[in-house]
Amino acid sequence: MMTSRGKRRAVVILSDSDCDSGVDEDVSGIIAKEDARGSPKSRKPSKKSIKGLGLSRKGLTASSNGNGAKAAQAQNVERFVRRERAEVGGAFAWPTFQPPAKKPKLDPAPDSNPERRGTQDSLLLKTPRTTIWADKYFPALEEELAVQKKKVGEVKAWLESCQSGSSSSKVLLLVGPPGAGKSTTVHVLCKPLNLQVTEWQTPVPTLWEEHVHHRGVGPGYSSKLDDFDAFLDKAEKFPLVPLVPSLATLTLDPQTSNGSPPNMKLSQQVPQGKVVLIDDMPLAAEGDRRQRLCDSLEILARSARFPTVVILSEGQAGQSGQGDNQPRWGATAAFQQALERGGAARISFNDITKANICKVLRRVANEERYDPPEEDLAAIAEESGGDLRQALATLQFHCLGQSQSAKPVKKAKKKKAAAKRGKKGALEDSEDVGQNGTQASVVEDDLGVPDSQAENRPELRGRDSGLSLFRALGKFLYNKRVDADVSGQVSANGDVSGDQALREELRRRPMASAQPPEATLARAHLDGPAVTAFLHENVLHFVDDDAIDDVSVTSAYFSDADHILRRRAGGARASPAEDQGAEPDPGRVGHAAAAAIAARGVLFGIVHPAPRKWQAFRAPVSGQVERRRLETLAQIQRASLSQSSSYLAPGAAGSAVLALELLPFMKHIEALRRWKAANGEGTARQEESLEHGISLSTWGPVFEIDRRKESAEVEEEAEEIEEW
Amino acid sequence: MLWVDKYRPHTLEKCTVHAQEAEHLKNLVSSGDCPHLLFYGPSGAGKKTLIMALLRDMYGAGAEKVKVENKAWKVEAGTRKIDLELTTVSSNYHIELTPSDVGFQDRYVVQEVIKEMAKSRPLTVDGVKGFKVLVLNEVDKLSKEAQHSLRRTMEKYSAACRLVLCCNSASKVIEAVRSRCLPIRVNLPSQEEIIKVLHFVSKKEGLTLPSAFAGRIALASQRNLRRAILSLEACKVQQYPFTDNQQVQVMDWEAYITEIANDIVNEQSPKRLFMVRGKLYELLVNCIPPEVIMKRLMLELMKKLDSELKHEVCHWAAFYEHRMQQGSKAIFHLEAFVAKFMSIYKKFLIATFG
Repeated sequence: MMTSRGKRRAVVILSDSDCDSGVDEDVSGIIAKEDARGSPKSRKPSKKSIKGLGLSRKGLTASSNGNGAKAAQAQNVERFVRRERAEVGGAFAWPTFQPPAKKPKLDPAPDSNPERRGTQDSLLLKTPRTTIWADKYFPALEEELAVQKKKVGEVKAWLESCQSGSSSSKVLLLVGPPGAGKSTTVHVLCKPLNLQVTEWQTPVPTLWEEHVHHRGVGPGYSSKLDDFDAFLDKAEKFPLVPLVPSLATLTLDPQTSNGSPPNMKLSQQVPQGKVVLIDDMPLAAEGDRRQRLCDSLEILARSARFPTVVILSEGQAGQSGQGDNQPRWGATAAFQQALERGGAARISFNDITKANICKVLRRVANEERYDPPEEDLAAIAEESGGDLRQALATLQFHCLGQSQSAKPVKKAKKKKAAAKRGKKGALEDSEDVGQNGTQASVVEDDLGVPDSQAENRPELRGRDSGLSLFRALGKFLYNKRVDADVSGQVSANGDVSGDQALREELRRRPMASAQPPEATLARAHLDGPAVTAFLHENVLHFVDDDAIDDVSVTSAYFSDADHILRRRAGGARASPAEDQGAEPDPGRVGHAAAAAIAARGVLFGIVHPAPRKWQAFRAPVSGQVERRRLETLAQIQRASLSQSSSYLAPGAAGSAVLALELLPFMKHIEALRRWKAANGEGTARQEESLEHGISLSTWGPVFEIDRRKESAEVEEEAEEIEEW
Repeated sequence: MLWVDKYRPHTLEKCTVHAQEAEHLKNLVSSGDCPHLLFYGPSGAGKKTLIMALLRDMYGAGAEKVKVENKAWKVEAGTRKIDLELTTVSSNYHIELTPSDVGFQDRYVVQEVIKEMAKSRPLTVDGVKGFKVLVLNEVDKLSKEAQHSLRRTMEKYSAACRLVLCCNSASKVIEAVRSRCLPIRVNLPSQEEIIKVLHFVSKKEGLTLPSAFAGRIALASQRNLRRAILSLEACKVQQYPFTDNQQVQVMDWEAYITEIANDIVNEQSPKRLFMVRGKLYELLVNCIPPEVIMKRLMLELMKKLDSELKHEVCHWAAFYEHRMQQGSKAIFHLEAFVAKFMSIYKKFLIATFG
């Protein structure tokens, strides 16, 4: 454990110091751009993995002077990177690769470790690592799919019903987060059914300058949307030509076959039929283009002749709270609507479960003859957030610097070893911390708090895992604490903690999560007003019904948070940014402080949580209330315009006076007059009932808003989140 | 026409309630000029009546020929243009508006209007350039920025216009503005004055008003003259001839707050607090100002409290009212007060009754 970790560190250090930071910045720049443009591309590896491979490429090349095998390896990696580039979007210029100057003192890792070099060399000769594992271990059989069995069954049923012609709709819409195995499922299922997959692949984009340069030489420029329409047209019109098997191995290249973009990959057998697979929508971020794409999709859904599978990747849930993913989300939703209008069937995939990912990772690692410790795999699975492709890429990168065992590891033996390792590792960890950390964290490690372990090896991290809004809220509102008996232990062991100095009523058990609330807030991309409003709206349901004191504490903190929010906003109002009517910057210190206060206030305040049960989170209604208040205000002012009274003339009396004094009396007088006119003189008793009726009717909206709040369901919440 | 309009005094001489202030104002404008004025005092005291009468004294009946306009302004602020809309009441001699109605953009309104007025100065008969009067309502609700810009424009254009500011609380007007104005405090009329006015109104309407009933109306109106006259009219519509034990109308929002107070006292739990929150939202939606809610709620709760708690409850009400002025979302602070009260009250109950 220790040694392998040391090595891993060495690799990282090497790459950090050796690279001229231009490379990785460019790579991540490309990916960032791709992200921002909102391409629906789902098959892209994480930022980190490319970066990592790009760096290791350098390291390896630097050490490979005159070593043929190493050069081959370097080439391989380079090819891999290039390929990635093509996938990510080849239009961006790759920074020219220059062999880095020899830096012997910074570059000791490969040479100083002859044992590892030997094993690698020998292995490289036998099995060159040419592919990324996600491709290499692409499942071939239905059983190998890590996807939920039920979903696989649904897709299969649809395909079969299409083949037999009994299906109601020819178009299937698959939605799910990236890496959930949507395309894989289709590919795998089509094989045994002997269906050929005709896939739309987005043509490799070219720079506009390049088009201009090649004008008159190559094929002319055509819009990607035109290409897509043409593809749909062809794919839906023409059935398969029954080709002889020998011919079928041919692959039609898109560029040579007179400009038709799709890559027709023909399988070896004579296929029984075809499935059109649209995995990757052309980029259509805005207005007209999106509308056009939606229209063609709707037409497709109505008129498809062949079974067609449309795959839409949903944005990662954790990032949906913020603005950059919004256009993409919008587009995906628009496509979904268009397809469903056309009557497409829909199956949505979920994230692959951690356990399944772990299983696959273990299998792949065994086949690759690596033996990463179990907790590493668990951490990778955790970080991947249900994205198997990404998990594999992380695993591959993770294993780069490690030694391979000579033969595939036996399961039982390995498990034991892993367990042993895990124990030892934990021990070492705690020793590590014990030397330079506080005693409290040792205790935490011994308790096996998973978060703290994951934090000890940041190099494992595949990506910054986001948190969805509701999960973040849940973290605060459920307010998980370490169990009472355990915490008793803690205070018994670590009696140095400052807790003892506090008064009894201010002491709290340690939080179950080692992360500070601010980190959770940052991961969920929440800003001050949103956090405060959401927590405020929901907190009352999470407190035990007797614990009004807790609520009093939390609401005092909300008041503090609001106070800070406003002060910051007020102070910044004079700043030029606010002058331009710009949105308040969520990164502002005051907002962050307010968010922290609100979150910590909830964590501190709830001492007696309500019994654990499922709670629906509700979107805050305070925004709605404000909107409706303004509506009422406008209404009052309009009403006052129609009155002849000089008091009621707008501007003559403030809206407060109108609402407080004039209108209630006016209403009252009016109603009484009308009632009198209708009924003549009434008895006192009738008057009373009438009075009651009036006071109710003036408060008509009471019931309205109550109902609205009751019906604030998850859908409405989604809307509200977008507003936020 | 409502009685409040009908029996409003139109000239300073006819003012019966604030006769002394009216006298002072009359002397002030007898020369035809006046300093900037700041009228402050609680709602229903007669500020606006005094202002209107003052204008009439300065300009004659022409000041009462007003037209109501929905004015639109296009303001260029830096790179962007802001469209603002505000209703104004204006005569040849004055413009009246409530700049706080446009929210945080109020300062543009203040600047623009005053500039516009400075451009077109009226001529008096003898050819001297006169001035217009700008009446600004709810100055205490103006943002600080707007108040500062008000101060600057006040200095720059003081030759062209006189400002008459009207607000409830002078403490929310910045010092700089206050020092440039002649402050006039308009107090709430006393109980006796209100009763006198009520008798005056009913005499004019030809009604007989039992003095006990008049006293009850005056009491219920909390010395707010406008409210007293309005509720007199409402009572008349409801039942005439008046009887001594006739019910005086309570306003719906007041009844509602009383209901909230009952809810709070009857049960103290998060669930109840959630219900109260809904009701508070309801009041806010109906444009009841949060300060009024806070005050009224506190008063209602006070009625039901043991005297040993009163001090603490008052303290928290004041605390959160102050917070509310500084914060942006009133509900947080209202609710914090309610929660605090519930907590205190429950503790008290447990300590007293076990």
